[in-house]
Amino acid sequence: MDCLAAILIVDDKPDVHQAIRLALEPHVARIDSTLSPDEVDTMVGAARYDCVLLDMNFAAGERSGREGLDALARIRAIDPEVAILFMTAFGAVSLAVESLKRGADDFLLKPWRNDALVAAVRAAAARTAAARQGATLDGMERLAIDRALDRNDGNIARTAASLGVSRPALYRRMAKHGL
Amino acid sequence: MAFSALGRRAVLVSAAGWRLLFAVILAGLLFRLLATTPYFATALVVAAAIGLLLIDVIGLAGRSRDAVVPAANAESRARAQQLELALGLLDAVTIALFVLAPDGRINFANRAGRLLAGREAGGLQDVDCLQGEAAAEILALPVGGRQLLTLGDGRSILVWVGAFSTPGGGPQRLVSLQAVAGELDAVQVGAWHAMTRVLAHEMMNSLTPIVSLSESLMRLAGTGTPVDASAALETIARQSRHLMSFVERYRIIADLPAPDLAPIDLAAFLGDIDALAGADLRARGIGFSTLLQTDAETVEADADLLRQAVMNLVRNAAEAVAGKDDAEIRLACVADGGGVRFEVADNGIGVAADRLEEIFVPFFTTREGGAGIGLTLARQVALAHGGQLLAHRNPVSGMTFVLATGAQGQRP
Repeated sequence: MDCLAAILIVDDKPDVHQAIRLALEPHVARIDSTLSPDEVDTMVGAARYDCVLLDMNFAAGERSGREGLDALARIRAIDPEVAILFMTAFGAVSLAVESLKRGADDFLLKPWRNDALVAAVRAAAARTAAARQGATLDGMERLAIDRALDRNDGNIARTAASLGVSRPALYRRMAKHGL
Repeated sequence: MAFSALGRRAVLVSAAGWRLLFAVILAGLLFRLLATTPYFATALVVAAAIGLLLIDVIGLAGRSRDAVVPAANAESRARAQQLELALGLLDAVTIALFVLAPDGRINFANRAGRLLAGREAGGLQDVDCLQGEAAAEILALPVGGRQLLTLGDGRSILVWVGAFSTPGGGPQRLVSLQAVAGELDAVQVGAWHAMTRVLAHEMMNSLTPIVSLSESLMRLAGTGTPVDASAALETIARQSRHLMSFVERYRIIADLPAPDLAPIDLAAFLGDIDALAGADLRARGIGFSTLLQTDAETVEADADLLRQAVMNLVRNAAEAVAGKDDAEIRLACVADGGGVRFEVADNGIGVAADRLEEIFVPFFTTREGGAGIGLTLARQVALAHGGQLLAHRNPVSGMTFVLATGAQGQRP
């Protein structure tokens, strides 16, 4: 398996950094880490990461995930393409769903199994790579259909005509893309 | 009934009095008659009259005791109405009320009480749903005691014991039984959820490096590559110890001893707290003062538990004011109902309004490395004394924690 170039860990616990480093050592060439979400801006701005592993809470007693969601928004603003993996302890699933809505790519439940961690990081890195290379064929198709639908105010017959496909073919493709 | 008999007694005294007066005059006449003249026949008649009068008096007394009073006067009618109203009110109350004689017999029960008892119960131990230990526990409660009991059928009731005495009736005990099932379940489930969230968060966070590092070490050991495992093992050991101390702390709050009550000298108690905490606080630049603001000299409490609770509050306050220039902590002992309350006020960072209840959840802490049991312990101590622990946000800055010891003089 190929080795990933670089990932970033944002978590307030050094023990978690240590654990992720040891687990991802064979899979990632460079692992950066920071204990404070405040440093995220500069680090994401300075390097092109394959994936960011982001914790939800940083102050003791804090379980709202507010700091994590703030950092998520800042990372998205600086690097819209990097995949962000939210890390959350058991019992904060509703928060994890919220993070997905706000632009996280996936979330990882603590404590994780190393296999799951590696798989999640690789999947995230693949999404980052796809985003950085520009749209995939599927993505382009989806975008084209979406725009045509917009242009024709959601009228299927006119959309199909403008795209040069039959209506059943358009329905099939819309179902495939979840439109 | 009782009121109209009272009115009747006044009439009886005057009627019997007249008859007695008359009998005495006749007796005097009889004596005079026999001393001066030998008119035995007349004397016999007079003596018979005296005898009849006395029999009449005795008869009158007997009649008035048994007699049903016919027309009561307006005052006693109003009183009867009041009594009926009071009894109606008692019957409308959904809390079961029992009045117990000193020997435990039920003298009175309101409607809810009669429904609970189910049948004519002579004493609490005859009430079906209080079979077993419940009745004994209620009877063993001191006056003023409150206790939550779980009945055989799973229902929870809050028991309260009061005392009152009626003129000539001697001391009686009032026992109230209130079903609290719904409310209690909601509170219990809420508290349970809150604690589970904190526990799960804490434990899963501690387990994260343990699980991951162990797996990594196993992988490395399998490949046979030489590896410096000491750092990883050290983390695993440290996190494992953290989990152990976590469980230890759980034991501390689960095994709080029952309070051993004795009179505590309040001035000396405040002096102890000052000696334990004051010097250290002042050395750290934190102003610390104690104030005794009550006429009471003593309070019934467990000195060790109370000291521990108040020290926890002072320690929390010290954390809250740490690093502040004009840091100040004030401990006051204030009269509160029959007892006292200890107020610990600081001008520190305070607690957000939406967190005021969360801070009492076991293991919740906003401090890195904090145990999260100080306030839980203090609240448990307060509750064990029949009091409570509340947190208020100060108008300007900081918090005031108020630990009340509960009303005094109602416990044994």
